[in-house]
Amino acid sequence: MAVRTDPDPVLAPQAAQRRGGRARRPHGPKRTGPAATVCTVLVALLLGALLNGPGLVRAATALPIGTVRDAAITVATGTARTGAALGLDRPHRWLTAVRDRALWAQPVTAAVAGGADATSGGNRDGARGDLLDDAAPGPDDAAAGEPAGTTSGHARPPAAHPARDRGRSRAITAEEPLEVLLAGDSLIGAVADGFGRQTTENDLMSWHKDVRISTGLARPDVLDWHLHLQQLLDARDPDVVVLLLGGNDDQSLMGGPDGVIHYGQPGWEEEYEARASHLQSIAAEAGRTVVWLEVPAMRPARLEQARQRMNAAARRAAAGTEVVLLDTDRIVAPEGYTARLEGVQVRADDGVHLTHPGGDLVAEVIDRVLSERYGLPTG
Amino acid sequence: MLFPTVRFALFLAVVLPIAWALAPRPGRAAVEAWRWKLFLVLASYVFYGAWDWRFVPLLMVSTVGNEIAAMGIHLARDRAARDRWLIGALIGNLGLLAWWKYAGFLTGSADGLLRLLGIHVDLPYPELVLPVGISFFTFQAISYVVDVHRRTIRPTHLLDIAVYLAFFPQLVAGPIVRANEFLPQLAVGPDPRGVPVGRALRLIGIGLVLKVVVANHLATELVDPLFATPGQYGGGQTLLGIYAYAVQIYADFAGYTSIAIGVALLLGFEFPRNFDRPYAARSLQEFWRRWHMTLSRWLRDYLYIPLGGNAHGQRRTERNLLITMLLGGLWHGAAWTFVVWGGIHGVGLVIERRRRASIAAAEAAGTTGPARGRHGREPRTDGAAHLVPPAGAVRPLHPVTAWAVTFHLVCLAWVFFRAPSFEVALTVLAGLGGGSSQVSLSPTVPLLVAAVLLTQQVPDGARTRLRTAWDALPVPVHLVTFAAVLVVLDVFGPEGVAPFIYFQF
Repeated sequence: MAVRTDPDPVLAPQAAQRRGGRARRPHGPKRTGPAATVCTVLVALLLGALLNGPGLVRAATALPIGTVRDAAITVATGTARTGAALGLDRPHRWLTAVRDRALWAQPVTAAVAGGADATSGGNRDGARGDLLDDAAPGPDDAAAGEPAGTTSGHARPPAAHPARDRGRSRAITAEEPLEVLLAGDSLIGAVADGFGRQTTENDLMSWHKDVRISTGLARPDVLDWHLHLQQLLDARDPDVVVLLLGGNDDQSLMGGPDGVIHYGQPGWEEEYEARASHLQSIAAEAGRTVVWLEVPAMRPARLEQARQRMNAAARRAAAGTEVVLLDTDRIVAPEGYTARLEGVQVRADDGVHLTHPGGDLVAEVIDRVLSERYGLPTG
Repeated sequence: MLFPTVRFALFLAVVLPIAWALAPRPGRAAVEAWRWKLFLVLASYVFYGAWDWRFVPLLMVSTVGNEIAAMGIHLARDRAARDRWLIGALIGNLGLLAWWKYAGFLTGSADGLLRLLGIHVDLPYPELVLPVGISFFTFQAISYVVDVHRRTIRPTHLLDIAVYLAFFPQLVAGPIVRANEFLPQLAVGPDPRGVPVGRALRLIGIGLVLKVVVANHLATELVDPLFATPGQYGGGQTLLGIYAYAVQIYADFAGYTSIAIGVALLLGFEFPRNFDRPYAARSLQEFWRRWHMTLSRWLRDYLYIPLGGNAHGQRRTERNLLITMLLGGLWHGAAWTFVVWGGIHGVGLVIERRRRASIAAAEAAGTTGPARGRHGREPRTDGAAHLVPPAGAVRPLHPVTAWAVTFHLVCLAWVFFRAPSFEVALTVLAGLGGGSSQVSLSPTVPLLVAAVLLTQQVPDGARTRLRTAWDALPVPVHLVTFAAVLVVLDVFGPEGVAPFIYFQF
């Protein structure tokens, strides 16, 4: 291959263009011809696919339900099987084992404990009774977890806890603070962080958040929340479980009794209600307090329509149980969706998520609810 | 469409062979070039439309509008008419940016100010979704019309400008490629000898690891929780968290541009370098020569120099520096925290400039003694002691001290860059004085931070030798290594990939 030189890789072609000829190319590293370049990249991607069979299957599974997903799963599964048959999946398995054995096995979520002094925090207007719909006591129809898919992330293995009284009457002390688990999709993130800020100096409360983005009750094939929550409860044994899910559930329900229940078709709301009910009952085991945050108003029309259905289903699921429903609309969208409330931006630019101040507002109410319920000072 | 996804890999696997199949070959008709460029535009629009198809027309409008302005400038009969076309183009471009990016910020700021004054007015709050990459393609468009106005380039065909503004590798987060760098390459087409595929795969592989493993890990393990609940962390952890953010944003952004440069290279385009070991800098001036280099030179050539640069005395120079950095801060995000970030850099640069002037003056005073040569410029032969500034004069910092001061100033500014509000930023800074905490951290955080900071100290010569040796290896080695990197990403990357930080700018 002949080596050509130019003084300046940028200006030289321009000069040549002005002269009406083709520019010469700069001296540089070893070059590969066009066909070889394309082949190299395609082979590298193919080899990468064969080495990464499990990852490919996971990525294909997470696609929206439909023919594209079906085709992707077929291709990914075939690729994964081929890779396994050729023994090319060994590096992936070996690295995965290394990761899970060693210090890489940390959970991706933050675990933060409360601080020192218990002080009261500033409360916004709005009485508890206006915000809450504390359903009447009823039979506990708790059922065991129903693993219908895979759990995502690198969850810490469940830890054994001695049986503890999680009832409201248990003594809350700095040594045994009220343990609050805030879990859900990305919507819970700002709320959990706000709760952390709200209770920073409250040594009577400790909290843990588990945010699983792009998940929900619709797609147990992406993350089975029933199984995942059960694992979280086994590992953490909290007193209180705060749940917020639904930001990604404006879609068909995968894994129902009849396979897929398409969004908008009859049976969708009933199945969603059954899943919400199941999750609430898992959370409520052992006398835990369950706070179910209703999905706040959304700007995207499709999500707004869907969240009304989800909230209605969750309300029906909570009826007759001790689940505490918290109407977030009353906090961040009292007159329907709004990005700003009293001069403060409470919603992110996407019209879906809460901002830090928005999360703070909801967290203040959660703190107040729990403080009243357990007779603790707020903040 | 994010780079580190299967979706993008499939996109590239389709686009790359077609682009090379359509690439114009020497001696062929111009129609080949036309087909090739049209394909690149369409592929780029598909890439951009994968985020939100509604914004593709916005990109088209920007393309057509700037081409009209460039032609207007070129064909104008006199200077005044050229200036009018340019002003129109600048108003159009900056107006587009102001509307999409700053309307909410300005309204919110006005609302906050009025509330402070006790005036409660319901200002209409424009709820706009920021089109991804608007800051980048707008800056490229401005550079095009300004360069045409300066007569450093001639206006080119609409299709060429469409490729230039939309070219997918750099569309959403740079590097900010100038028209006079890109258009000549587009005019001649890709090198028929092919591309340095080893170098391209190395750049893409390194970029993927920086983003998916380093940046995402630091974000999820420490940075995001620290800035979400800063009061929970001890002093040492807070300091580590600030360092971790410095490394995270470098890994995130340098990772993106490394992938972008590598992908462009595969398509036959050479992009300018965007990062050069920024955390090895021993001054802020040096930092800005190493960090987001394409933005630095854009700000220099299209803002600082038009403001007068350093040609009108110290005060004007310092004013120009401050304005440039404050506006540079605002370019990054529509919030006052970004303005403070720019302000810290601006003030730092001004102080550095004054120090350099003082040191130069002191050194000049120290070399004007009787032992100096007859012509005043000859070096002394009796030792360097005479070059030492007089007692009490400003002295240059020791290199290690200079590095430490620069790095920590940069980190201080990053706190305001990252924090969602001043309250959080100040809480994070106050946390530096905190004691211990109950939060446990993965040991991978300090390891990754140390590894990235240490690699920045590797001298250029050694890095170049390493790169050259690596690029010279046989293609199968590159191929297998790249595939192995994909395994590392899948195993050690998080579930899902967060968008690149610079997408929001």
